Amino acid sequence: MPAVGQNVLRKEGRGKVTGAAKYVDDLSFPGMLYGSTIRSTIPCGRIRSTRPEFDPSEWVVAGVPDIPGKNVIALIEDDQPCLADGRVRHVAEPILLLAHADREALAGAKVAVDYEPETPVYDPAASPRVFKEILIEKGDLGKGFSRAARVVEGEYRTGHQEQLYIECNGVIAVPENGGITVYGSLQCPYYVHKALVVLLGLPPERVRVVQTETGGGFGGKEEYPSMLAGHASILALKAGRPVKMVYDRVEDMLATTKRHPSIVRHRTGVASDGRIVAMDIDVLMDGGAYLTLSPVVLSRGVLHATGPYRCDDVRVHGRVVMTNTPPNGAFRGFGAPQTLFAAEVHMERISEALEMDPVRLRELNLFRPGDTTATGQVLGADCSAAEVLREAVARTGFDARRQALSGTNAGIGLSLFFHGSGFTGGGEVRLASRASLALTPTGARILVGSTEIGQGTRTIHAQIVADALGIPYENVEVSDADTACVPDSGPTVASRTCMVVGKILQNCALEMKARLGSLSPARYLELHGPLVVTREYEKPAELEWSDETYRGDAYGAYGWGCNVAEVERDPDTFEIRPVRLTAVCEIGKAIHPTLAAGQIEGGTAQGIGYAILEEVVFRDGAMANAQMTNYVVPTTLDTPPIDVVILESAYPHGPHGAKGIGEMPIDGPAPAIVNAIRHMGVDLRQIPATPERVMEASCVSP
Amino acid sequence: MKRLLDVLREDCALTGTKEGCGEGECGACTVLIDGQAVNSCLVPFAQVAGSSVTTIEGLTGAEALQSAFIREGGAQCGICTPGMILAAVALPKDADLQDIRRGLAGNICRCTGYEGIYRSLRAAAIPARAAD
Amino acid sequence: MRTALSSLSLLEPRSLQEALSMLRDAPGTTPLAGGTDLYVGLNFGTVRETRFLDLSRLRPLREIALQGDVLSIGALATYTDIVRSPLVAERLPILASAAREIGGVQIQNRGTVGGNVANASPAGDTLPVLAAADAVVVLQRAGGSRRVPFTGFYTGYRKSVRRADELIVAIEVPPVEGRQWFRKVGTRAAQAISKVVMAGIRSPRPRLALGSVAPTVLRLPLTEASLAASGSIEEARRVLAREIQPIDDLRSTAAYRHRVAGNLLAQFWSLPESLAPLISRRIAARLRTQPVEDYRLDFEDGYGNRSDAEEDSHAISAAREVVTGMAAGTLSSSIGVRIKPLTEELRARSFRTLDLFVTQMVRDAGRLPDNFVVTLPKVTAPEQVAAIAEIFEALERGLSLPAGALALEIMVETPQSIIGPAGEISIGGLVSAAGGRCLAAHFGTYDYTASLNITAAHQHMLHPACDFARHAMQAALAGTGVWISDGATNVLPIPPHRGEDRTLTGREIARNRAAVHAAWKLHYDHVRHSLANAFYQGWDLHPAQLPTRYAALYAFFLEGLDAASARLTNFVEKAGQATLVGDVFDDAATGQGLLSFFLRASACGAITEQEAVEKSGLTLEELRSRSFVRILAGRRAAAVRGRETGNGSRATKGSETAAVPRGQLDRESKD
Repeated sequence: MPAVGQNVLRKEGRGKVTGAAKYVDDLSFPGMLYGSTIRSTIPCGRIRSTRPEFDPSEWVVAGVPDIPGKNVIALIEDDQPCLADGRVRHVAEPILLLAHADREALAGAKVAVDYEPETPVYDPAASPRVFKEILIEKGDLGKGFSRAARVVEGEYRTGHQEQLYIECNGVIAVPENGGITVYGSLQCPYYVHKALVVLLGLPPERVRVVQTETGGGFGGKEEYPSMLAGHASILALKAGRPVKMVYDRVEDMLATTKRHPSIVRHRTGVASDGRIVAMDIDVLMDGGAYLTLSPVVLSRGVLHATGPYRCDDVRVHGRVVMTNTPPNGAFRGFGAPQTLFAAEVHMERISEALEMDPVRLRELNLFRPGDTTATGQVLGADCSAAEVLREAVARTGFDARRQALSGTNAGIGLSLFFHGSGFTGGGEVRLASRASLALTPTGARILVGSTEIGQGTRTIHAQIVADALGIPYENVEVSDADTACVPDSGPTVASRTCMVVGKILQNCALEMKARLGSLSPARYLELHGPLVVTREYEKPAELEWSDETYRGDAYGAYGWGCNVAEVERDPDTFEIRPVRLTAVCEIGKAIHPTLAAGQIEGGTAQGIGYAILEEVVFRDGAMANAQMTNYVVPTTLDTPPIDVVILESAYPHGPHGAKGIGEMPIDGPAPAIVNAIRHMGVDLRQIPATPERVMEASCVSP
Repeated sequence: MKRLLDVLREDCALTGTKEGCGEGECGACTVLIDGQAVNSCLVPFAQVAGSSVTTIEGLTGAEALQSAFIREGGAQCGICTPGMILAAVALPKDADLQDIRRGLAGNICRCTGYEGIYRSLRAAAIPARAAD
Repeated sequence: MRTALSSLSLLEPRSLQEALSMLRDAPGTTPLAGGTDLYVGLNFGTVRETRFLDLSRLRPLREIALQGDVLSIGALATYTDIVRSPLVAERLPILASAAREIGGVQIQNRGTVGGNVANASPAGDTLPVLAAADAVVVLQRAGGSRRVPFTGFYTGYRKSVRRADELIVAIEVPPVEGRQWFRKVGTRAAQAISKVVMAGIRSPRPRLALGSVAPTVLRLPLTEASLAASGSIEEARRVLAREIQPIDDLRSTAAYRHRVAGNLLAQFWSLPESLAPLISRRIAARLRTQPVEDYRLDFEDGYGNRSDAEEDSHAISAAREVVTGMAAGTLSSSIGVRIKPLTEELRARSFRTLDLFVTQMVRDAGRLPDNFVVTLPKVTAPEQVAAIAEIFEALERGLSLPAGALALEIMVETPQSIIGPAGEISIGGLVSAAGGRCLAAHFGTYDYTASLNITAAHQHMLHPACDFARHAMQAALAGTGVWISDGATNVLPIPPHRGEDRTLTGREIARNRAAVHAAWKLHYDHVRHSLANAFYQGWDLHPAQLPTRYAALYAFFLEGLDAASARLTNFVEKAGQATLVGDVFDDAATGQGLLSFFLRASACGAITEQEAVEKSGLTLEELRSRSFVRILAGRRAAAVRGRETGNGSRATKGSETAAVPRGQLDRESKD
């Protein structure tokens, strides 16, 4: 029986339910010290001096001079120092590192830092520095607007969002073999590896990064672990002893990355029959103090900014800018939830302006196979916007519910969305990811740099390999994500682990099967010795993309989604209570239906938090509510029943037709919920839709 | 004044009990004291003298529930799972979905949207009821 | 963990006495109960104290017990203990409601009520309950103890009167009379810190406390007084807004807290949900059987000035309609006509319509309808009333009606009808000018407020100027037998969008519902205001106002029923006792007032006569006598007979338990 499509037993599950699974804080090494970070308390300025208020002789204290290599976190541009060198650009920027054998001693270790403050920038619209600017143009905007019977304009805002994985960021750096080994909670071992090689000035083979069991990532452990691993390594190399650094919740929230806030403006020309004839979209994102991954976040943001709607005359202009706040970074969805929120709430406003049924308006404009996107990509047969919309509307009895709830303190709304799987065309080519498969006496062992962070990487990879080799799922093992023994499969991000890495593994397995011929694995090993097949990403021939012009096939494939949210508003407290959320997702192929549903349910719940609860309060450039008491995410009682429907329309270049799934579920809930609130006559255009905002909007309703 | 959590993790090397926040919000450090679910990050060790403390490592008789968490998607990243399972064990035996939601409201899961956890509890309850 | 825990010391007393001695001998020692607040502070490194006193071994402090009629809750009772306690469920169920909403199960299993009180957070969820319940904090120290009323316990933000050597050992709650209410508005559905938290006790002496709106939990004496006095929720909201001092913080805004606190007050003071189904049934029954008690055919403002020919023909056709109704028996129990005011210009027209209408009716039917009345609007002087009385006489003579058959109502809607030219209250003079024909005085809101130069936006039923006029009418006509009636709400519950030729869009339906609901709410509030001011009659302009008229009326009586029941029972017994032993009983007016409550409630259909009998504790005969004095006399006679036969104990027993609200009485009798 094939493994793909079955709910096989997940590979790493046992240890998680018995407490045996080892997360980084569960590990200990002989002679290990505990490290901590002295951070800036001002958003912007020069450091005049630092003075430890303790006896430094008992401590390991490391600063910029202790960095063996280059003081940068190597990523896209090397603009972010590992330790502030004379000046700081955000609150909580690392300045000095301490280590001590007694963990309790860290609590009392204070360092006086003397600053020369400068004026910070918090308003992205007033930022003096643009990290990245992208322009997408299609057709002739002026001509488009000249055909419009109506023009609808609007501005939409989204706030920061904290990933809030339940396991905080943490690493242990162990000096060994003339180099460093880092164990850590992380998504991308090779990002960390690359950063450490530059920072520590070590040859690549002297740097080893091992992912430990990881208690959630959601993007929050994509780029930040490079920083933390750098800190622990600097201390460990200086001390000559292992150093553990595990953030507490406050530090994790104060210092690490969040979702980029956005301000998106839409100006849309609509013909009298409801067809969209011109789209002019301006996207502004707040990147925080350093560039980090902001250009890529912006890229995904602008590539999804039109929503899943066809239009001949389009302009999307995007900028991500510097502010004096901690750098924003990767978070599930990666720019798309922001622009799709704007697109879908704007769509609702168009339907209100035209007094047109929201489903009808979307049906009229949605992408169908053969349509071209804003970048000129011709959508293939797997384009499922119409199917997901139809299914969601039918399943929820949308029209009847909408009529029934009109004028009550309840509302129903929907959102239609799409999400590109993997990196952009050019991105995957540059990554040139590799995956390996080693023959074992009973089957094969998977060697990939992709990490298991709860989403089921190991399980689905093993399913794909098992079926390609034609062996039982149980006979496929998965190696730990350890740079000493697995190739660089690219980062575990961007909904690419199944579609892209899974496909490379499938190719490995097919090649291995061909090599085996009629031999059993054991027999092959006996006859020919060890066999490791390594394959690299192969760009489908028809994909064309230009980073210069932003024209072409932005993504190999898109997943398609439609959410319907039913909510209630408490008339006295303005609290929004989601009653039910229906999530229809077309993902190509569900390799493991339970895991796939788990991705949709979890992403939807995070999207619900994004929509109504989660608000990062900044005061003087610092997160003021950096505790779980005050930054609230959905509990069981905040999360409504989530009804998941998975549709499958195969992508020819994905393993078994699979596309990405991890990120898309978070794109839909916020606009669906806000549109449900709008159904109650509340003109809301911003998330989170806190009771305070709903109150304000309720009081000025049209 | 040491926390029960630290004694378990450091002195007893029982690292199945996790620290997610240190402020009694996430429930990852849930253990049972005399059968009652508590946040071990808020319990002074001195106060458990003479009590029975159950951690995930010492949990017995919940095999069906633990297996269900793997099969039904109750565990994803797994960091909240030990606390979640202990809180689930402390639920009233006849709990309906609303009781379950109330009873688990002190355990935050960021991965599953809780649906997989409810499925796990349902799946585990069925054979248990059949055996009754 | 940002505190070096191993540097802290913990004292571990085994008894309360030992603990108190330790507190006395080591000042600055912080008591530690469940740790759910303290360890959070230690985690964040915000706790400065270094020496702690572990209370966990002081088992007796965990007890929840009745001491006499006082509920005593040990300081170490956990939230779970409170949720599970049958005594709390019976005595102070809202304390269990509060406990159930604190943290998750893990916190509820550890956190204690004493800790919540000691922690002194303005957002502590049990604190408003304790404040509203008039709880007492029992403080003990080595060699002494004291009891501090909860309302005096806190002195400022996280400050209380507890001295360093004192321990909170218990919270005492006296019996609570009235309906208890609790609502927490937190940052999310569970595991939340309150943005606003309110506890209330609804009774003739309402009690109310709020958390998260000031540096400490707040009792709200001014708001309570406002609720007790006026019954107007709008006024009470205004008082509340001045009584709280919310701020912007991480979790919410001052504006939100203000608004929501007011909304919660309104919710607390609104219809109890348990009554809603009953009220809804009774409204439906009333609308089916007798939707309108009294009806006016209007030839004044609602009709306007038209040609003489047209008004003539309408006067005649209206009279014929009434005659048809008389024959079919479909008229309301009272009916009348409103003619134009007796001003210079309109006087002739007014008389002519009256003449045509009455003459036509009497000619066709041979008589007037039952309870027929003529309404005279915009009265400004007694001469107008005297003039119409003369016309009445002439009509009666001409139509051979019995003398005095035509009755009059005057509308009080000009300042002159309240205050006369010499500054005197003029209503009495107006009424007596009618020579005994005036049955009722109606207040007219809009003409009255307009003549006082109140701008249109403020011309509404709740304007204080209207209250002045109502009070003047009420005082001037008290005891005269002349009815008083309140004005109408002129915002009508009519949907703005009509779908005659097409289906309405969702937004239009939404706007329609919103408009109708808002108008209903307004009307409901106006009627409740009238009732609180003892204006038991009022006018409506549109049939769609009837549901909210009856909703307000029935809610008013049903909400007050239990309290009135307890008071009347008690009162009858006490009065009986007093007269029995020969004491002077001089408060018959209060008794009559309580009796009238039941009479009015049953007359309007809020309760059945059978219910009136049961709830008043009177016999049907006593109730129908309508006189408290007569009831007392009857009881006295019966008691004297009873004493003679040695059977007087029943009344005595009743008086001992009557102070307990009816619900508890029922429960106790089942035990």
